[in-house]
Amino acid sequence: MSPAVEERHETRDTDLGDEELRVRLSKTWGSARGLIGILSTVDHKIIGIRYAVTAFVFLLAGGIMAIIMRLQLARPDSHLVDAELYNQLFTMHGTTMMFLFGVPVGEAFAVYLVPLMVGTRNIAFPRLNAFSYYVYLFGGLMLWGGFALSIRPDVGWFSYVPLANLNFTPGKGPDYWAQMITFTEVAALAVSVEIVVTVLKQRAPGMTLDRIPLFVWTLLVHSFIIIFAMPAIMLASSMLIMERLVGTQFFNPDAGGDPLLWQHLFWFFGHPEVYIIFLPGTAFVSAIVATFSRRPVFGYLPMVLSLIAIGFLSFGLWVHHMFVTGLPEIGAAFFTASSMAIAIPNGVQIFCWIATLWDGKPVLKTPLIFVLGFFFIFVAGGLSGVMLASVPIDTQVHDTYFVVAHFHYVLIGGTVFPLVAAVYYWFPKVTGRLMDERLGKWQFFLAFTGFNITFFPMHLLGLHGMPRRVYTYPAETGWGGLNLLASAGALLFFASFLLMLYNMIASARSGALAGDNPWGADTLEWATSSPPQPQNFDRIPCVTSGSPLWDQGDHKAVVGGLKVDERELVVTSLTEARPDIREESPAPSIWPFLAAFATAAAFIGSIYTPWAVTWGSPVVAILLVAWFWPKTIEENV
Amino acid sequence: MQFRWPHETWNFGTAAWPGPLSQLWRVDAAEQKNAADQAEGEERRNEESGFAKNPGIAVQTHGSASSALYEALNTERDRRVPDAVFSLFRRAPNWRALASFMAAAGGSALASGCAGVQSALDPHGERADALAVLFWIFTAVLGLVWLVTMAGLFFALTRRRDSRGEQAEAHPAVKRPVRIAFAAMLTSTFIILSGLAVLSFDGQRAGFGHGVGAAITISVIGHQWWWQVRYEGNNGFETANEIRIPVGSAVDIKLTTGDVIHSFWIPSLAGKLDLIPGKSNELRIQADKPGVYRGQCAEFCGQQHAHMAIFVVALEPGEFERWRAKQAAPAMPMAHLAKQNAFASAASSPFAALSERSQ
Amino acid sequence: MARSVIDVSGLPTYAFGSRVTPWWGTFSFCLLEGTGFALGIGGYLYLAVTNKDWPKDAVPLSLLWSALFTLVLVISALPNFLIKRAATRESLRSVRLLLLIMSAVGLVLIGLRIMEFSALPVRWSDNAYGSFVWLLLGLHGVHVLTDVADTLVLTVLMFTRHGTGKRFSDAEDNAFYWYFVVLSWFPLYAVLYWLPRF
Repeated sequence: MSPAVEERHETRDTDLGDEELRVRLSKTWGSARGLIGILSTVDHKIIGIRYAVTAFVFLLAGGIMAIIMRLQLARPDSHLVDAELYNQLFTMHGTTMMFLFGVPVGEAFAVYLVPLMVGTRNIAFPRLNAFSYYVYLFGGLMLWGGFALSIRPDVGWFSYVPLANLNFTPGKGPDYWAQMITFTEVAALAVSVEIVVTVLKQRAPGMTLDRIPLFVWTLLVHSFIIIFAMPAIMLASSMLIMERLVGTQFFNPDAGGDPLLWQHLFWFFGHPEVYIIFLPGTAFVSAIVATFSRRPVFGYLPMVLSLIAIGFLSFGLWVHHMFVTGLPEIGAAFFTASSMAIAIPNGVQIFCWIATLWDGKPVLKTPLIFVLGFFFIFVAGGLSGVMLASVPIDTQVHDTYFVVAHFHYVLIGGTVFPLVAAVYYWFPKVTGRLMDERLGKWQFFLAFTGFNITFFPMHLLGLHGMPRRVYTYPAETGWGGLNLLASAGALLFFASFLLMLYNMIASARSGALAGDNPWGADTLEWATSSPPQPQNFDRIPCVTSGSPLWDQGDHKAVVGGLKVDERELVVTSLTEARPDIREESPAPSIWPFLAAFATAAAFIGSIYTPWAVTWGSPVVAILLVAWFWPKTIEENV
Repeated sequence: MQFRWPHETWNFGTAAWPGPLSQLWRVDAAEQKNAADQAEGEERRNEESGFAKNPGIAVQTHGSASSALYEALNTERDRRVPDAVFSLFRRAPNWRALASFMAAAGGSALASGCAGVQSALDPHGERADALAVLFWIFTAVLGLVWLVTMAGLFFALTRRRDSRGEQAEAHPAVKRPVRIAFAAMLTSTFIILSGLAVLSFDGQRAGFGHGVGAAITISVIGHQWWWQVRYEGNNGFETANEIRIPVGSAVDIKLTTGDVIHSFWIPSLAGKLDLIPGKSNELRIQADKPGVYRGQCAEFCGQQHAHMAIFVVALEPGEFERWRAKQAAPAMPMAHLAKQNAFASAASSPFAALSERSQ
Repeated sequence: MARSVIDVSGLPTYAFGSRVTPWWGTFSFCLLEGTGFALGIGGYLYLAVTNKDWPKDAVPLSLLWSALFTLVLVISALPNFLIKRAATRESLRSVRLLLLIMSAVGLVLIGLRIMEFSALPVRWSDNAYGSFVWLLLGLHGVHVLTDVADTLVLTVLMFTRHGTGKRFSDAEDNAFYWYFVVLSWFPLYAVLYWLPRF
């Protein structure tokens, strides 16, 4: 550390007044203009918004798929779409909703909000964050580009072998599917690592473990679930593509393999996946219930312990997706018990939220109304999940519309309703303007009735014997009426999202100005301007309570002594969050984009020739070296 | 006996789509000697949920294979179909039609409780009975849990309202009733889940245990997209997409697959079980009453998965034995079958197996 | 209104070990890659148990190259330890020298891994056993390759004007990751080379 270098960057935040500090910091932390600037940005807020917008576009695409399917199923023996197209549609619907919407939308909120909530200036490893977004984007574009070019996977979002093998499904559809999985998993894993490190090491001074907002705790557990679950699907999808491209024998029973190995690997990921999608929903609920009840969520410790329990238990359930494969009885019994056990921590969470509402005086704004919808729907879905945990009952309802109903109750009720609530809740923070309340209530009415009209009848259809993934059914089965009802509901439900889209666009232009903290909430993201400046906080806050904005009043304690002209942030100690290091946060860079592009090219090329990996890797390696190579001498100190 | 083969109504490939499937197995059921009253009962229920039957399709359906009885039933049904549902498709939508449709559909959801031809809630065998009972117990208990939770939520919301501008409370005292409620909630959750788990294990044993050897063992081999059925034994023979079993005896079904994963499921008789390459699974079924029970493949198996149906025909033991003896007899001329199914493709045709050849 | 209570101007701009964010990043990646290895081994063992023909399929692999690989890998832990120590002490000379040694060791290991592959008695397409042998060996090979590449780049960096300050922290982080590469090999070695012999 040479004194000369130290000299040049002497200006510290303590030297400047509030106004000048804000201007100087926003110059230091801002992103450049122009195409290169746009592609180089490492601001977690910009990347978070990109994640969210992309995920919502995929939600719309997946929703349109669903509507086409519902129109096909509205009447028996319908010929609106044929079997081939229908199979492509449900594959794309499931794949898009799980991998291109469900997981990334959680990442989007994590990337945008976690750094703000823990009171830091950027996410850890911001260039990796930019890289992860581009990898996700390219993965989604590849899948949908392939779809447009009639390269369409049609073996379901689960791609069971041997159906997904080359001899039963020639063509490139499943290869595109498998590579897209790898793309999105790389993205999700990268974000998880960033979130883990941001939460563990970049919390504002004083934010001890028991002062971490529940939202952040939830996303921390969420990230750990991803870290342990996603390698399974990456391994599995790599094995599948090798099976198809270079003739490995992992799943071939005639050569010592086993098709059930695919199922084990897939569901070892696939069940935690449900919690990966659901946990961000509970994070939204915790934040919104606290704000609108005007008090912290009841039972902080039970809530955190429940989250951790959910994280652990979610790995002990995967076999309940395989109850009808003819498993040994004792094994199945174990998974019944574990699947039922996860209802306990979920029950604790539900109880704590309701107790918070009971103790408080709930303010019925749109976000809270959607959260109430969440209770109504998710609790029903969770309880039908208890039924599915029972092996005997599962043998009747597995792979029927009962299961379709169940997981839509859980995923839409558990994630999408809180997500819509979260959009209404944080929209003012992101744009500076409030969304329209009246439209919000109309949207809730449409979404709630539409959802229940669509999915409740599916329970009955499943019990009446309607299997999943059938493109049509004969009239004499008697399923026509309930299907028609479900299809009508689906249109209503879809309309609710169009209404939200309209509300978002209109409110972004002319909504009421929000101010810093329109809901009177307690967490740190509301302590800064709406929308936040590139540096997030002009002065890093010091935290002395679990609800900093409710406890501090006018007495804002802050950190002083950070450099103004460099991207410095405070790294704190693991448990007590004592300030430890002034770490330099990486500056914008185009290399992550280029590396993501090269990675995408190599992956797509590998579908056509395995050599693409061979000639793609050195290119990616060179780009990575360029990414990490220090550009100035100052980066070394 | 005049029995209509379900396979004649079965088809595959999208290119030469012969039109909607006929579902004549219902008529077959009626033709069974002892099934008359059952069919009657079913018909009565159908009248209640009659809106579900599209008259347009019903007319097409019987096609060449009509029977007087079936026709009669259809006519009966046509008269009772509320027009609202289908008018939605024929005319421009109008709100009144939609409203009356909603009402009709809502009514049907309740009324159709147990009326199904392929329904887990319409059990006709010991095992399916046990599963249905278990299902209803779970539904009742969990439904109650849901109601209690919603009541709690409702109470929480209505207890104190009207609080605009309320100052936030950062450290509210934890009140005694909440603590008690928390303890009660946790305890009751444990008790309820433990109880349900025990019931589930018990049901697992009752529903899947294999007691004494079954009277008959039948091999079912799944193919894209048909079922090969092989009666084992000295006088073995094969059929396709149809299993005939004697009423009142346990039948073991050995499940294997010739290509991809399928799942064998006859909801009225038992839960489902997968057919997996390199693995053999065994399922026991038993029918209490004569009749035709429909089932279909429950694991997505490729393009025509939707049309991979199978029928279990339960016959009186005597009748079953006569049928079996006839099947086991030396091969009959099969020219008429070949002619009849000209559209069948050679490679994956179920009709080869349908030749009722003896082995 | 706002008042500073904590002055951080005197804090260092980098440190070593679990105090810095890159350590936690590397640790997280070790966790997820370790999960990948564990699941790979799990899949191998699953087939070993469920497949009746496994003993026939599972031809024992030649021990020569793998033994050399394992030996060199174990020995490499010593210079790796020394790098960690030298980096923490910010001794440029030692770090440079040791990085050169580690680069050479890494290249030798890559050569040995190539020999291991060429001596395999099964191809990936012969049977599921062969597929798993290639998968697991390849998976670990990729880890060796990436860390050696990282070491080479770091070595070059240390000989440029950038060989100061935070780069020592990077060198330490790189050494930390190498431990993971070494440790993750042992279960793989046991399963791939010794299990079929019992």
